[in-house]
Amino acid sequence: MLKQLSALCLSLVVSLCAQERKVVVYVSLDEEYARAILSAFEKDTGIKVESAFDTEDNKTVGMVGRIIAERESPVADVYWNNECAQTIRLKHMGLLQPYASPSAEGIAAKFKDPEQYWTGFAARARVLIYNTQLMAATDVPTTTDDLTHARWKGKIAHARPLTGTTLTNAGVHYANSGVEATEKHYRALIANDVRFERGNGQVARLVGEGVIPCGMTDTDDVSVRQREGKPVAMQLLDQQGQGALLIPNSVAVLKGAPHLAEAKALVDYLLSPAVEAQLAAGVSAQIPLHAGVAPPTGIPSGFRSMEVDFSAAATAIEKHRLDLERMFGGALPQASTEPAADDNLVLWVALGCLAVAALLLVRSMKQKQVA
Amino acid sequence: MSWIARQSLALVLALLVLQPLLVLAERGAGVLLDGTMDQVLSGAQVGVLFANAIFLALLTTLFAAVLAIGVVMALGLYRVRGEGLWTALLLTPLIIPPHIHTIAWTRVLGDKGWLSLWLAEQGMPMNVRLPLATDGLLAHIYPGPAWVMACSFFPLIALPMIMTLRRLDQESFAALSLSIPQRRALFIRAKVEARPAFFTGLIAVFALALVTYPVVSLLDTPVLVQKVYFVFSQVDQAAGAVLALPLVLMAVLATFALTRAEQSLMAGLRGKARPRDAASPSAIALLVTVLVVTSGVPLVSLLREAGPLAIAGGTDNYQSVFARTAEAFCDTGALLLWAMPPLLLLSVLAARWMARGRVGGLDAVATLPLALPPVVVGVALLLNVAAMDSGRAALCALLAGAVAGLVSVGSMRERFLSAFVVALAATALHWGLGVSGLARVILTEGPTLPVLGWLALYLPLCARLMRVAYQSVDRDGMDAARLSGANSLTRFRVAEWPAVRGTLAAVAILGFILCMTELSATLLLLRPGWQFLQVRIFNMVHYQSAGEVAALCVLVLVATLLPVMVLRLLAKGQRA
Repeated sequence: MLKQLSALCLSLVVSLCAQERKVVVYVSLDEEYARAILSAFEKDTGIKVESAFDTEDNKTVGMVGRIIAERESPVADVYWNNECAQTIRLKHMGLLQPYASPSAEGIAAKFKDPEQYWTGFAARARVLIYNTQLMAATDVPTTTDDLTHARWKGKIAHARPLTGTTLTNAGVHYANSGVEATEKHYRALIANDVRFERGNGQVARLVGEGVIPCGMTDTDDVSVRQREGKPVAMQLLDQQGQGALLIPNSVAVLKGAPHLAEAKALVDYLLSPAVEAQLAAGVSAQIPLHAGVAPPTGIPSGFRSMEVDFSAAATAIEKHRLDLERMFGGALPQASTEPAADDNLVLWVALGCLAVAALLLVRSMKQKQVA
Repeated sequence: MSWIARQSLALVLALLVLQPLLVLAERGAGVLLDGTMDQVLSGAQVGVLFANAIFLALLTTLFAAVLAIGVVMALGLYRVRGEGLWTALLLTPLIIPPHIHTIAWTRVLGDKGWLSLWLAEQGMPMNVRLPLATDGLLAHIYPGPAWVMACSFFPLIALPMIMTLRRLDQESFAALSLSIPQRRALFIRAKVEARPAFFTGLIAVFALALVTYPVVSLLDTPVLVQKVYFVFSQVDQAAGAVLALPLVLMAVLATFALTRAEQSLMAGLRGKARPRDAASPSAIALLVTVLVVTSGVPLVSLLREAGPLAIAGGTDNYQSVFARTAEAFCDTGALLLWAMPPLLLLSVLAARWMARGRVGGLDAVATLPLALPPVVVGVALLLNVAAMDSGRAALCALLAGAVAGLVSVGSMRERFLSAFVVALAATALHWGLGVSGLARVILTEGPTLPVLGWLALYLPLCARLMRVAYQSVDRDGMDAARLSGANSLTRFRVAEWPAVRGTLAAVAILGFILCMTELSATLLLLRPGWQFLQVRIFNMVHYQSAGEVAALCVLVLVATLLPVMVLRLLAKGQRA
């Protein structure tokens, strides 16, 4: 027993001290999809990948918060984000370093940072998922504005625009339509009894289970539910107008990355057409950005996509994050972006009650001791 | 305990508990001054979220008390055949982590839960996520999460009550029985003697319900702890911890009340077991109902959702999910292997010291994390690691060492010497590890950080339980052995070990269960390259098929139960 313990300790010390080739990557893509890609990279290159994943509650912003907190002594080398606005936020904060990957050559310029701080790949579209048993294809909303129409009152689910691609969507809305129109849209959604959920996955699950007829989500969530055999289909919005929002994954090398060479190798790998093909063929059915890579089945090819300035969207998110939080970060969605005036009163009353309870408790204990 | 051992313990507590909290306090003061908190507080309804949290905790405590009393009626007041088995079954809800309880209950009372559907057919729509209609009130009442947490935590009320009631003061009971009917006398004595255990349990459940994150996260319940995690990840880590201050205040109060109630509870547990009448069929029926509802229903729901085993070939949900999470099983095992030895060793050291009665301030230092929500402990450790190379952290190490040294001994002269030595040692250790870069390797790349989190969170509880065992060590026997020239190892083997080994086994089982089921802090502290099963379940629940998630929950429960059973068998073997 003692011998085994010593061997275990020794192996742990050796493994801690050994200088193996490795790369640390923070990932905001769903763990199940990213793991397969990272394992394949490990096999292909012999470079060990140490990965950390976002939880659904904190999608993208959780990892960004971690990178910001570790800015003085970075732990991660690469950030693989499932959208790009938060990556741009990191760029604005000076936490990324430029890297022009040769693998990115086939990707359109609009999905790349002009200063090469980040590169987009394998996109998803924001779509409407609907339950085919509860809603006929002809009854499904076709534009973003339809979601606020009384005809679909109480029939739509939507993730709170506080994290992930839904936050990016909100940023794009602010950048394209302006503050007034965006807030009017969200107020109208609240007034139309839209059911706000924590994430897109949850929205797709509710629609798949028939709890609610339709909801806004991403193409990958629709694909997952379809493969599960749920009676769902997708509707691309605004095909007669501005087009559907296409949000690429983004990858970037972090400033001060402890394993720079390995980080670049991983970025090259992730941006390769082979990985895009793998992501397209996988459960998440991501839309490839390299020309010539086969698109996923089930997603209509050649659909109209929105023209987006992701940098402006990222700036808008920074500017209006607090407004969104006021509307959607509380107990229930609020139609106002103004701070709740009476809220602090409740806090102080609650704290006052606590203080009184504490005093009573201490007093009763003292009385008991005296007795 | 020797002076060096005492100062070493003070040093460990200084670096494990005080330094991270000081770093957090320093950062917290920063966000209060630079306006970050104004931004957070002007955001969404902090007061309402706090009020929601209080209502939720109160309702959880109420539900848990009702469930506990149902069990106590049979197992505490009366004798039931197979009592050991029933008591072990009573532990099941504690072994099932709250997030697995939640996943299971959403299958029962969720949007498409079988009970929800049935109730809807009867015209009584019910959903575990939804609040009660409280129009006009600022705060909301959420019976669903309260019920889930009550199912998870009610043994915390029931178990101490049962233990106390099995040892009712026989003489008072007999005296009272002379003047009033025996049944009434039993209830009157039970009411008096079980009160400390009842209130201790109530406080523990209330405090836990206030800070348990996974349940409210999965059920999307708007309470303060959700907001704390949100601010932690979205705005600023320290701001999240500052926002948790009302929760900290509540937890400090709860811990204060718990430590006060501890003495009366221990006194109630020391008596001799009394002879009890056999339980009536209705009491047994109540016991079975509570256990079936709190453990049986969630377990059956998970098993049903996971589907059958593919015995005749093919692939079932268990196989497919295990294939995908095998690495997480290995990592979790490794993390627990790292955590258990230091947890037990430190518990024993702290307990030996506490049992001498001269614990003073260091007892309070060791108990401090018990009064903090796991998220605060997690944030404090994370911030400490981030600031490892900075002068601020070194200053915090110096201060922490000085405080721990100062409160670790009795006399004034010794105090200053101790403060000087521990402060110096803490700073030197911090500096040495920081400069050499070893701290970075250890804390950011290995499994150390979650292990430190578990140590900080559970050391107080384990040490306090061990203290009870150490208080029963025969002091006269120890002194006699010392006088007869026995060395410390012989004294330990002959006098201490027989008295403490039973409790040590129990603490090992408890420590294992606590670490294995922890999620709130581990979620923050898990380092890249490491996986933890509970975190994996928590993430998978959002996008994996319900069957596979349920299968993983069942596998994790089995993985938790197996080592517990092995430890129990080992402990039994030792006793034999």
